[in-house]
Amino acid sequence: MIKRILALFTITAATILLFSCDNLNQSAYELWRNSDEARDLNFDQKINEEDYEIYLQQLEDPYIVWRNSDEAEDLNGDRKIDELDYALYLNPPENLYEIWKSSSNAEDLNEDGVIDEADYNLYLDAVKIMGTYQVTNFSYEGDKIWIADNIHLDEFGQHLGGITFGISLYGEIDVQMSNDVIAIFGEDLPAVLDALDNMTFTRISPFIFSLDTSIVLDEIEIVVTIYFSEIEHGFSTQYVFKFDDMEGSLAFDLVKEIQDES
Amino acid sequence: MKVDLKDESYTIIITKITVYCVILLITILFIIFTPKKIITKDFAISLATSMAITDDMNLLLYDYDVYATDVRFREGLIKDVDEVKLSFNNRSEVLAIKVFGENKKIEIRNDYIYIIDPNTPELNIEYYLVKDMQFNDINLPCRTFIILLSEIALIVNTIYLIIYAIISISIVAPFSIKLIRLIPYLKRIN
Repeated sequence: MIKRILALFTITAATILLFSCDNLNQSAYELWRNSDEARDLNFDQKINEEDYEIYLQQLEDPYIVWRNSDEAEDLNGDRKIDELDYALYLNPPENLYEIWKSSSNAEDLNEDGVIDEADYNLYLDAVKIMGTYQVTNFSYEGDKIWIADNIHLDEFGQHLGGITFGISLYGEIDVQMSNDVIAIFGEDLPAVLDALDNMTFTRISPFIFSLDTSIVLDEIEIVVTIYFSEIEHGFSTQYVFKFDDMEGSLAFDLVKEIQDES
Repeated sequence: MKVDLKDESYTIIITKITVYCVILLITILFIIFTPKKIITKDFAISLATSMAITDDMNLLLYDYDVYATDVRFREGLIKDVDEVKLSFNNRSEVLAIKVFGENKKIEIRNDYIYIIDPNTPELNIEYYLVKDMQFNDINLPCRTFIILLSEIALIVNTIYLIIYAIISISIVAPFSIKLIRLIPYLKRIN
């Protein structure tokens, strides 16, 4: 009888213990899920058990421990924090930020009064964007919209080979046009040159770049913005126009010239 | 107009001082509490938001936030959306946010657009930049409209402020002079 009671007690205790362990595991996950460390680690736009498993695996990996720490930095300036940066962290050749800071490139790019790592990151971003670009994959569908006295928008694509856009470190755009293109604009050339003169190109979010300029129409300055998304070797945009009865859809890419990559 | 106070009684002077003080006080309070601008940038953003085109083709993915729990998601809907709204406001852009919901629904709110979309992952807030708005059958870029209206507002507000200052001075100055003139007579009677 006593043996039976002991056996029953042992089974009950084991069940409670197992149940508690299960609850403990669940609590640890819930604890993590409610903490600041909960991240979408597999980028499926959900934070769930799969992310927690990755998190647990990462805890054991010294590279991941470093990547999750405040010491993780984009040491090679490729705008990614990866194993290459970790290798540089373990065997630092020299501090790249310090090299930049002591160089003539160091500037207060965000105009907050100090030259710091935020400026260095802006510098790296600007270096990536900087280069010479050509308009490609130009397409226009819709009603005829005149962009100058003797040319409408759908014909303009034929002349784009004669235009290059140079983007400087500060996002300023320098447009070079061939004589053929200059001739197209005729009397409208000064207005076109004015608009091209103050164009700037900036990243406004992880996914959007903006090309800002202004044009003067009837003595009123009008700000014009074209938004771009990033593609391989450049940027892409698409627009839908609608003025009263006229409608049109325009798309083109700005592709970086290969010699700038080297 | 010169006031002959010799014939006036103490009560009349006190009444006059009280009336002038009340008029001055009301005018000063009016100056303090009346808005100094009649058109603000917020108004321009609100107007652009109300006319924004909400087709998916017109929305550009700006960024997204993903949250672990429903509590954090709801906190994000207040705190994080406010932060993003501020950066949109600074750049004179119109913001649209998308959150998960079974039935698609678009709500035009005061300074942003709230979209419930079944294609947005759960516990996510997706931020979108609204490119164009529609005004009199013309597609206008929201940013162009907001900046233009803000510049017009600057002119309108300056004219309003000048008129406002002239009216205020024309009330405050004569009553202040009258009051200053009455005080010595009051002292003399006492």
